[in-house]
Amino acid sequence: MSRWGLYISILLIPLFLFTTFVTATETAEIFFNDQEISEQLDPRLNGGDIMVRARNLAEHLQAVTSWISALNTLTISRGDTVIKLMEGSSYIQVDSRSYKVKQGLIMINGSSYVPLKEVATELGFLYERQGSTIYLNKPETQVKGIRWQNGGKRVLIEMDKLAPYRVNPTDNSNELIIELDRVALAPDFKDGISSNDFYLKVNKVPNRARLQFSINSKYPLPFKQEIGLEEDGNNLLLRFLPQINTITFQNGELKITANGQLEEPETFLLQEPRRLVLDIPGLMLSDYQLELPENELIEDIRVSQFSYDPIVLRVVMELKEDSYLDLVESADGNTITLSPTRITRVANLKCEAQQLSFISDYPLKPDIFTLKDPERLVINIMNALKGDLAKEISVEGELIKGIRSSQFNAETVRIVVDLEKETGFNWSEMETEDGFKYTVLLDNSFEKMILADGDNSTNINISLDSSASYEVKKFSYPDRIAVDIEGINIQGALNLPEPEGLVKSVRALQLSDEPKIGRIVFELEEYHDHSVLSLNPDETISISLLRGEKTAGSDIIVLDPGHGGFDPGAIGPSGLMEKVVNLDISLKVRDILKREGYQVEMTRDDDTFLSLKERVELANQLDALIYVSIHANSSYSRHSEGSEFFIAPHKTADSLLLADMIRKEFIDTVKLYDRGIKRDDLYVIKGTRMPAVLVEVAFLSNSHEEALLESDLFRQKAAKAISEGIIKYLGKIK
Amino acid sequence: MFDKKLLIMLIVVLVFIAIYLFLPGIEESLTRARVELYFATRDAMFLKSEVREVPREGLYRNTLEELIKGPEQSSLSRTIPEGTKMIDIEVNNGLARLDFNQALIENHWGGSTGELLTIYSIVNTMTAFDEIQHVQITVEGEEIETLAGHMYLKEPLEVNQELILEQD
Repeated sequence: MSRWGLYISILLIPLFLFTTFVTATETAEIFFNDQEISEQLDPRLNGGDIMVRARNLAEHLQAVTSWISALNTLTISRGDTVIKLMEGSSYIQVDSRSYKVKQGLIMINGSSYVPLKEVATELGFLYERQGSTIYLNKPETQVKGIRWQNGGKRVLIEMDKLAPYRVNPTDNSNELIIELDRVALAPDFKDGISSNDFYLKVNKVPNRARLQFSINSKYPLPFKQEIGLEEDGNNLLLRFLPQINTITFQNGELKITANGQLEEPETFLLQEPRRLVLDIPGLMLSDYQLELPENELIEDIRVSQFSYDPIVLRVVMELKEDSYLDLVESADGNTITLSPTRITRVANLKCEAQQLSFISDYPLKPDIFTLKDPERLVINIMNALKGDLAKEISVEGELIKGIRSSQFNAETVRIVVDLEKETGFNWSEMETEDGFKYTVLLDNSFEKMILADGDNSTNINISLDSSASYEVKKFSYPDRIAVDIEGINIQGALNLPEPEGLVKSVRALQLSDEPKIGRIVFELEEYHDHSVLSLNPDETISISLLRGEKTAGSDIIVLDPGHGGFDPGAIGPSGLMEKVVNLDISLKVRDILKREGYQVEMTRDDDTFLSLKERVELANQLDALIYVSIHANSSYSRHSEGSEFFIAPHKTADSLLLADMIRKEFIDTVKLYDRGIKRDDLYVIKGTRMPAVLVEVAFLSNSHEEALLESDLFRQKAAKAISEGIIKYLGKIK
Repeated sequence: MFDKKLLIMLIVVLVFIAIYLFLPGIEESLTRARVELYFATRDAMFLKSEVREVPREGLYRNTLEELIKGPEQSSLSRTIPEGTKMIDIEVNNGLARLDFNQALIENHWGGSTGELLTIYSIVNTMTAFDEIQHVQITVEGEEIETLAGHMYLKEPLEVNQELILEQD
């Protein structure tokens, strides 16, 4: 009997398992925001649906449950959403709607179990299932769209709130993958970038509410992570590297232009055939236009993408016999100019301590770089002959082993410094009576780094052996400040300070070797705002990290000449451009204020374009005392005339006082029709956090006033009025 | 008795005459609407309205097209650059999204005053319709940061009463 009983039980067990309404499953795994919560939820597989213990689910989703035993009804509520399930009913009621589900509320061992998918989704969570693994997530941000900006130089990812982001490295230079966390696509998400040349693919990463945007291109994407990723309010901006546009030979000069800011190229001469090589960092190849008419200097030009990491574009110019080309400093950042040059003589090479110097008849631009194995520093001087230079000179000290010089080829002098160890460097030029003196300083390294915590801020001070150019960048996720310092070599045994105040950790890395850039990263506990207190370049880099609310503020007056670059502003009947007038008056105001001992910063001091946002950010970052934007007015009617002053409606009385002080000076000195003070939400005066005024000096659209704006005397008068107004205002508030 | 009959006849005739005279007016008020268009004063200090009648069919577009044409009174001046065209108008929940062609930016004369007058001539004209409270201006389908480099236009704007010069 017992044997039969056993057989029957063996036969019955699988039968029992198949017919049981609810089956315990070993395989269902549930993750909530990355954390496994299967055990607490006790998932049961039921006809393909997953049922979980209501009480524990609610706990995780921060919902509230209540059981009404008279109705056998369970209520789950979170925020405004109320879900009701009744035992034995396959309907689920959400607020005022209800619908049928495969399985409603069931009771197991006295606990209520509910369908996971419906409940989680209705409560606003993302539910994703992969086989028997379930991922629950709460998206915090919607991605509204992705589109091109600035004629294909930037891609903007629009979100309703900035989500944690990162760019994933890929080996494929034609692909770029941007990952966003805790996001979902908006229902009306717009793909504004897919076209013949580009293709956007959005992948969902189910183990979190993560989206991967993969941009694929026919051509290598001109993107570099360290400099290409930027936050723009709630949005993410991917800046693409500039691409080469044109190479033209005109009036004996060769010009190379790009669609963005060009970095300083490296040049060197090669022989047989004689050719000048220009390596331009951070520039990408594209369909460029070449205009090379018959000429005495250049035979032929070839362009190639020399390398992708780092990104370097190589321009090779095949030179004709006896022609010499040299780089010319170019005012416009998008152009490199080369012009014919003379052969100079290099002489008087000296070495003192860790400083190397030589003189030259004509100005030159040495090409300096370091090489390894053995460690050495090379100085190449093109279009130069070796003058009175000893072949070898003796040296003392720990760093330099020896110095050699040679006529590298017919037109290049090479100086080689043999080093004990790798080093940073810096060079400077000085005009002397008989020519030009060049000094190369070796071993620009960190003297000390100090973190000091105060009541309102944590201050970072980085002292260097000698002055260096640097850039301060803010990154998020985690919040951090990066300081990129030129000519700095990061060695292993760097003495980094202990974290202090708002700084959580400090690390240093070599951002790039050519050009040599060292990066110090300060990871932050929290971030509110920062300001850079040092000059650029400077020997000591000082950054102040603000703690919470704004501090008392600086004494800096920010002057903002309106428009600039490709934006001329208004144009007068005879062609006078507003940007020119604005800049000139602003520079005059600056000169007057500086002479009087005030601290002045300009949003622009040359003909460059700045967005409204950039102007505001500059003033806010400097925590300026006041902000004055200088413009010339215009309207359709030629009859409109006079000077006008704008302040933001929400601003304090200080803005009004400042505007009024300037206006009174205008009435006295400029003496045009007084249009008065207007309250309007113009972007720059609205967005700046300090008292701010926008001055419209006169009407360019009015021929008479245009003529005035053209004259230096009138500009000087206007500058006088503005600066006097500012000075009187400052006198009143002090 | 006779007098009374005559009186009734007279009244009936008068009613018919009245209907005959006013019918076109009644019909017109059903098909045409009076709108207020805001143009700039010649000294560019204010906006002042000019009343015009436009067909009710496609009211918003007709209104904006009249605004683009410019004022009839010589004491007012135009606010929208020549060549500007309406591409699309969408009114939803009190927000009017107005899409113009590139000429709005390209042919604009600039100036803070010039920009304010252009933008608020559009905004004030559109918000004069009871059902519109906010106006968002776009150019060829794209939101624009600014028209002439002073105002921020990525957010919807509401009526600007301070610029309006009341009728005298």
